[in-house]
Amino acid sequence: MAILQVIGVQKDFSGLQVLTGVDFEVGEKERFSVIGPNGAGKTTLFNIISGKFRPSAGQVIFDGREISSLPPYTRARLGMARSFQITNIFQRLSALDNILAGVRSRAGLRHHLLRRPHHDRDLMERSEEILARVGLADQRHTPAQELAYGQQRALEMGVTLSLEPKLVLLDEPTAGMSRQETEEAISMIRRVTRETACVIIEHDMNVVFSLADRISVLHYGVMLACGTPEEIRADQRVKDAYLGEEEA
Amino acid sequence: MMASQKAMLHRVGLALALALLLVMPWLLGSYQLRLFTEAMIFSLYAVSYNMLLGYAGLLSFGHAMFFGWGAFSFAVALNHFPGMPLMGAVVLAMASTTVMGLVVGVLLLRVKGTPFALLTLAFNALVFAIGIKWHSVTGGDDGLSIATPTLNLGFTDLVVSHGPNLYYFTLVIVGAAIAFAWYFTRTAMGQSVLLIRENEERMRFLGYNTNVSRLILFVLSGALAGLAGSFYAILNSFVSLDAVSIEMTTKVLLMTFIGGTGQFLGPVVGAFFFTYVQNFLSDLTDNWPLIMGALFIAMVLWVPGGLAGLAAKLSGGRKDDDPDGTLAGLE
Repeated sequence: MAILQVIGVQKDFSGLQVLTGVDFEVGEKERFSVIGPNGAGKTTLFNIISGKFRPSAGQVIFDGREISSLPPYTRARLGMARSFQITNIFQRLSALDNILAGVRSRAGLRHHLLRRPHHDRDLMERSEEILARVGLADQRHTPAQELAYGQQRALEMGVTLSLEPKLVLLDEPTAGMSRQETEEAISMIRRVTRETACVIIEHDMNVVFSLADRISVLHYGVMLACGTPEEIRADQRVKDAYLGEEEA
Repeated sequence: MMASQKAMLHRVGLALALALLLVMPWLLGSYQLRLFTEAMIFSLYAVSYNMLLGYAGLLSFGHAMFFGWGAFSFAVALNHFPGMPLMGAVVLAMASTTVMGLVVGVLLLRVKGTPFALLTLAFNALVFAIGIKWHSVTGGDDGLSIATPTLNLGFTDLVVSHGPNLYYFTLVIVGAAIAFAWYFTRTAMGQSVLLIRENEERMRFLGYNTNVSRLILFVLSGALAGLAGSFYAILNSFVSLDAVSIEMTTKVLLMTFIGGTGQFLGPVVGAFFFTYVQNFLSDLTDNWPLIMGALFIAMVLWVPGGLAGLAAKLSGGRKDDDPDGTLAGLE
């Protein structure tokens, strides 16, 4: 069964058509990637799935439920988590407290007037575990702003995973990374999304082809092609529209 | 210093402060004790204000609407319902302020920043207008006199309208409210407020309905200010429009800024400083607000962290990476 269905999604911004009908499905444990040149509408599509924008037409169905008009916090509670292209963490909080924010939200401890999350052993252990999964166990007390760039990206991923989501949305997870950092990020993403579905928006072809089970190519607001990495590599339309430009 | 040693030191300090508070009536004359009681009441008022300003980053110009609403509700409960017990009136005043905070909050919290600040001012003026026009209930310009009932402790009835009994009554109830406000900063809700100020967008994507968080905080802050208002009414055995005036709003603003928004005890320091300095200056000259105003300007310009921030800096207790002191309460 598909965890995410995008059906005929359109988006226009005051007359400007950015998406003119996008359809795809993501399976329960599938890693799905959306690629496309700048201005293809990738980020708009990402924002529609994660709840920042509403589609002008069409539906987004998550886990069997129509969600296109739900606010981001409801989507998060349903089991959808997104990362940000520009690191968007709690800069002055420790790495551990960054993770705790999501862990206690998942446990429903958001507005309690008496319970103290720092005194809840289960939540703290859970947070430590997730911090270790993204390789930051040694940095638990370091304020996020004092971490190295690669570590901040890892924390960004940790905060996303702290919701223990069914679907992870990653917006250019390797943006601005060195080659070595990118390699490490790829293996981490592969490791942490083994049990979840994942949608990745990415520029870097290397990353996409080594991570994705299936790829769709977005070109000026329409889906040009959708298939396995091999199929996409062989697709003439894709070569003409996108990959050709890269190689040229 | 080891963390455990520091915690020990804190505990010893807290025990000493409590002991000092308990013997205060033996140390102070009746006039001084009354002044001290007033400063405690204003401490709660300022602490409740700092929950909005220091913790959530919400600048309100209307906090007196809660303080005054609490004071008037308390007086109305006693004057219009004969036989109302003291604690009944206090609880009723808090409940009524809570409802008022909920109504105002739902209308107000659609906006942020400057529009929010201006709307709080408008609502304060509105509540003031109700106070002055609804003569049959609030007494209008004349205000309301209160005959504070005795406090029924089961085995005895205490007269708590003045003197050491009022002091202890205030110490227990107002003290408990301030202690709760401190505890609150560690709770899930309190931490959420801080995190929302740090990064609201991320909080929304982590499942937090940030509007609900702000509303809960607004209502809670108002209810505590209302509690302070009812004790202000007990202290004076009288409620006048002064309790809900713009001056009362300015007062809490001054106390909080002078004391410092960056630390929990900042507003307490500010409330004591303001109460005592005002008392001293008003003996000297009728133009004391002029001096207070100049002091306020000087503090904002040169000591943005307030007195508490200054003390922390001098004792080297705080790293200087947080000059505006907005991280209060983060663990």
